Amino acid sequence: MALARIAHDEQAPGRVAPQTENSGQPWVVANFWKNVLAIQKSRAQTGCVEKTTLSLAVAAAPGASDPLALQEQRARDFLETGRYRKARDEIKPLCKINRAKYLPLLIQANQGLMREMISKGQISEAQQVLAYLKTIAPPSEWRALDLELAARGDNWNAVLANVVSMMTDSRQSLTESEKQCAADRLVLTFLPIPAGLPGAAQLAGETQAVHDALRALAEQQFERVQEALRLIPHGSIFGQWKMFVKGLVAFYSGDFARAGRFFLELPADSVTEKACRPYLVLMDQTDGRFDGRLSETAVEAIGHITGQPALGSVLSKADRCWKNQRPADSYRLMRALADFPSDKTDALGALSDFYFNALFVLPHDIADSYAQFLEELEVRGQTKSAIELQMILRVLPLYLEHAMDPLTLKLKWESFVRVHEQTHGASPRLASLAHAWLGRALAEPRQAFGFFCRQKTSLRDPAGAVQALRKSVELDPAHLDAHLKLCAVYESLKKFSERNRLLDVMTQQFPDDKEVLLQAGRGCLDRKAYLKGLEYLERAHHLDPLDASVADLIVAARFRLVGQHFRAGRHHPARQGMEQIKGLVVEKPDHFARNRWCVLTRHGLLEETFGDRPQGELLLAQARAASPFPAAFLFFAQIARRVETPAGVANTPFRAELEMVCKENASIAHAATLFRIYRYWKLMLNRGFPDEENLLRQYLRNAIRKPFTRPEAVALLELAESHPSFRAEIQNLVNKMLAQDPDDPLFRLHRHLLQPGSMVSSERARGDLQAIIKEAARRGDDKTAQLARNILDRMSIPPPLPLPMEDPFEELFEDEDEDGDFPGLPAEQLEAFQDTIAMLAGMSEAERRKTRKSLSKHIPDVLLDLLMKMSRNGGLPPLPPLPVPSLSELVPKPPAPSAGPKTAPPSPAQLNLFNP
Amino acid sequence: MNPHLVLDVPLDADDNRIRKTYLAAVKASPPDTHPVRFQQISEAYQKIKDEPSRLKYHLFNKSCPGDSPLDVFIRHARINLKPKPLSFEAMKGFLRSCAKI
Repeated sequence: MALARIAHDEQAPGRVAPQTENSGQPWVVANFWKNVLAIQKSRAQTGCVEKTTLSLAVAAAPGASDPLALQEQRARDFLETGRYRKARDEIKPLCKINRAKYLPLLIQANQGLMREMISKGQISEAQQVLAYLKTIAPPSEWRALDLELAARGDNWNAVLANVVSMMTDSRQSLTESEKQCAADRLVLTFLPIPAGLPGAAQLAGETQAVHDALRALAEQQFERVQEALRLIPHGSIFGQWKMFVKGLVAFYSGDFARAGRFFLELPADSVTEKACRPYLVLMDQTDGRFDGRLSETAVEAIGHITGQPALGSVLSKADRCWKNQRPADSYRLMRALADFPSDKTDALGALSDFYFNALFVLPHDIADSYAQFLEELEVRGQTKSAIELQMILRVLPLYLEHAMDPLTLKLKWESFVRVHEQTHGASPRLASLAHAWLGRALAEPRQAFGFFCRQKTSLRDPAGAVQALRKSVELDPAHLDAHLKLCAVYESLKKFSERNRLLDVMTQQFPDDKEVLLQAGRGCLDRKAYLKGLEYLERAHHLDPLDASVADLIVAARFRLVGQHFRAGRHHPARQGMEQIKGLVVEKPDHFARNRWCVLTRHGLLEETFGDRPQGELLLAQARAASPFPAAFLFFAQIARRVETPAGVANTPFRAELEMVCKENASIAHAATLFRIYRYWKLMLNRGFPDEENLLRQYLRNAIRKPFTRPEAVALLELAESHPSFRAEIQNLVNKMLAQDPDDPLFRLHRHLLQPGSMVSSERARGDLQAIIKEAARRGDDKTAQLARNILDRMSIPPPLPLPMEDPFEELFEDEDEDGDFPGLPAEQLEAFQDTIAMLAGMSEAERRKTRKSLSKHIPDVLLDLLMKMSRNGGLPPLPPLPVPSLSELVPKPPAPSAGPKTAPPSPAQLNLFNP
Repeated sequence: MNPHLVLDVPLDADDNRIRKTYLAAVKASPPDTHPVRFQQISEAYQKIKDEPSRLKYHLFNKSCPGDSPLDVFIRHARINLKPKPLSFEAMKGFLRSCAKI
């Protein structure tokens, strides 16, 4: 109002009206102020006073340019940016000043505003604008809009009347687009044009022809369609309808190329072009038109075309939800459909596959919450059908395989098998496959921590794994994979008698399976039944002569047999055996199982010790000459001598020479080969060689003192990672590398990991790792950066409880466990234990699982399983007062050679762990 | 996409029928002229060629048949396209709704 006063004051007597460069005439100025007051008065009620006055007053200020030009420019800007209402408000006062000049702009603004309203579905508002437009504009400016509005309002009789009068009125000249629009509306009325109207006969005939063609198409009378279309002449305003219907005929006749040609010629944004979009999508001929996006109507049309009329509208909404990353809402919408989810091959079946398998491709956080939604349906008993329940029970264990605790995994998966039997009938093969999967999942090794980790490899739930695999084998005795897995589980649990019994069954059941024969051969070698083992292995070799692992095992078995013969003085069969071994010799120097120099060394040692000594010496000389370097021969022969000779003494003829070579010619590159030799013997015989380990350590120390390259050091580090006893030497190697390049990220990382407690989160450790990541990124060493990042991630939640690395379950499971003792926990750990259980107990099952997933990076699985179990039972049961042992005591000790009565291991009930 | 759908065999089809359908499909879409379709057919056949493969597929299949529900529906419709013309009334409604887009 203050501004209004200013404007009023400006007009007061004695004051000079503002003049601008372009408005020199006094009458213009007088008119200006007159208009300002008039507008101000007229807008006082609408609240627009201040703005309009402001704009005019500011524009009229001395020195400003022409206010009318400024306002016109503003109006044009609004028009250009599609802000039609604002443009109209700016132009209206201008129109009052100069109607002739500004009326076209006002019409344009109203047209734009009307189109906007129509597109938003504001039909009544658009009608008001149209009524106003009719008062200021000639019919040519609003006819098309009038038609469009009438069509929007589904007032087809009015549309028909308007269009017919418009097209038959010879006084009105219509543009091409108006004619096209009118033809579209005429078709869309689907009403007959009244007979007898002057000039409407042809119009009526052609409209009727389009309607007849569409009707015949619906009845699949394609010839009748063609007959009807013949009535539409070339150059008719119904030409595009003719083309559209011809395209439809080609589509339904299966001639997609022809259909596509017709459809792609339709004018853009016409009704027919919009109507052909679903067909183009189905034919995969959109060619990037309309961005491949379909309106709700088009999706519904696809539903109709494909015989799924109910699906279209739901699918459109469900799709929108999905794309907005709301999969659960999307699923809820689809669930409203009667036959969804479905396990058939129809569209609903495909969509069901999608909705369940999408868990495996969605981003983790979204997939987790979606899985939670599905699980809640199942847990609350809200599944709508057995098929839905079955699908949920299948997908959740697959998705949460590593996050679910073994018990839940087992329950869910067994429920799935049960429900599947109810819906599809019993299928022992399917049940066998399902139990085999469960057995495999429960037999997964637990996650280990850090470098140089000595954690004993243990299985997730050995008892559960054995149970599930046994069941699988029972259900389908021809299930090979289940047999093999069960065999592997028995082996890792050191249940060799069960494994051997199973292998006997397997060799009967699968006599021509390479893997079975290989396992059976290995089993025989373990129990020193070399001939039987060789028989199995030779059969496996016959089945796959290119499998190196079979040939390696054959050579290992033959060497054992040859050794037996030599020791027993049976030289002839021993040498025959050696000849057979030579048939499998390879020329790779690093293939210690059967390369030439290694075979010669072992043969030479056996001949020298038990057979022809000069021949043995000759063979050893040949082996030395064929070996890659003297230390490799000496080291290999040193261990082989201990293995093959009866006494197995450490002081072999090779030792002194080896010690000398260690001092003089040690190198890091050769040390790597010695490491491999040591590892080969250790793995093959499943035992250590402390003396040779010391020799290797000495060699390594000497080698580190000499110059070496970075790649040599890296190769050695990779080998040494699995040998914690070489920690000091590795530390020296790392220090030496860092002395050369203190910023080397890989060696800095190794230095970090070699420190005690390197996995414990601390300010310093995190800073150290972050600096390493930065430097690695700078040098483009992605591998080191990723490794450091992984370690940093593991540190994100500090492990709540320092725990023994051994697996208490394993102790409970082992039958032959003599002095099993499950130790108690120190008081502070017990407290932390109780707090964690209480926290988990307060959570829903899904939340608990989520928490478990995040904790699994930091807490051993064995403890997590216990925590989950106890939290489900309402908290920690009262533990009996136990003596508090130190952490070192928590590690199970080897059984004492006591002659006294053995103490039975405590039962789960005694431990209060499983049955609180 | 569901291999039964790709080969156009029912869920309860036996090994013999699946093999016959597969061979017919390969004959219709040989690899030199229809490489993509041939690959689809071969992959589908491997998944359901015998009972153990079919059971494994039904139990452990984790493949997602599309990017979004609409994408899956359209892919399914394209593979299984046996279109039937819209009824006259449905076409009328559809065309009128196109005028409102």
